[in-house]
Amino acid sequence: MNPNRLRILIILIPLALIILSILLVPAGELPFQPILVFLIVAAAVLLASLFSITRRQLMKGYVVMGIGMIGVAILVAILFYFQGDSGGYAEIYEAGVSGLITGGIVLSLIGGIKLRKGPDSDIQDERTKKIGSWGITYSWYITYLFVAFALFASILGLPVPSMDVFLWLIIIIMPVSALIFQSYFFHRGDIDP
Amino acid sequence: MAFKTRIKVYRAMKNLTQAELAAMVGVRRETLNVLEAGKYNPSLQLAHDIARALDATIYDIFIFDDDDTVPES
Repeated sequence: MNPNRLRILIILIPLALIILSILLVPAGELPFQPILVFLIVAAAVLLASLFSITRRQLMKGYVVMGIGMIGVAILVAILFYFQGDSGGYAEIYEAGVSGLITGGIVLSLIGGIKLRKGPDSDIQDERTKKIGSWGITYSWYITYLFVAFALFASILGLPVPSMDVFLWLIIIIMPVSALIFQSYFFHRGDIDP
Repeated sequence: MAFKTRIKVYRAMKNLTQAELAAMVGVRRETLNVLEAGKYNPSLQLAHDIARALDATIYDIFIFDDDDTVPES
């Protein structure tokens, strides 16, 4: 897909989600309102993150980190002092607040990482692409070994985790191992010794 | 293959910072840093771009340890 189209799509989806949620939540017509509120917040955070990622100026990092930290502080205070005052919307309220807190933390982290990496951290050059793809490749090997090991353990009658736990482990292992490998290669400079 | 680079020397001669040269060749400053330290093996395209930005040849900039066939520039 054309990168520009993909970018537009990435921005339009959360925007549509926000607009739809704003229109529907006050009407109280949807059955899973807490989830919807969480989606609004997640979409807003995604938009803010995209804005942060697509801008290269260092100041954006400060702004995003500041907004995130203020958001976390205010919403933690709201959660503690006004919890329960929202009547029938308590669940929605809690989901929204916890979503905003999560979003605030994510924004703070994104801003902090951007500041630490510097203004050119958005540039994708041949080295970052190479390290990025090799990190994911090694992560794939690790996950493959993990799945193969679990299968053999199951065949041999050894204790193995339940399906839910197993899937959670895979969800965690894949991105975390990719990040660890990428960090290692970035630190070393190249994928070759 | 082990190699050394003379990017730093040529960069100093042209009075360029790492960030400026990195911007000229379209890479991160960090990439240029590891290149100067000889920790990263660049593509031929990047080597060419760097040499061109520094008004030198690839042979001037990249010196391979086991290479005794480097032509005089």
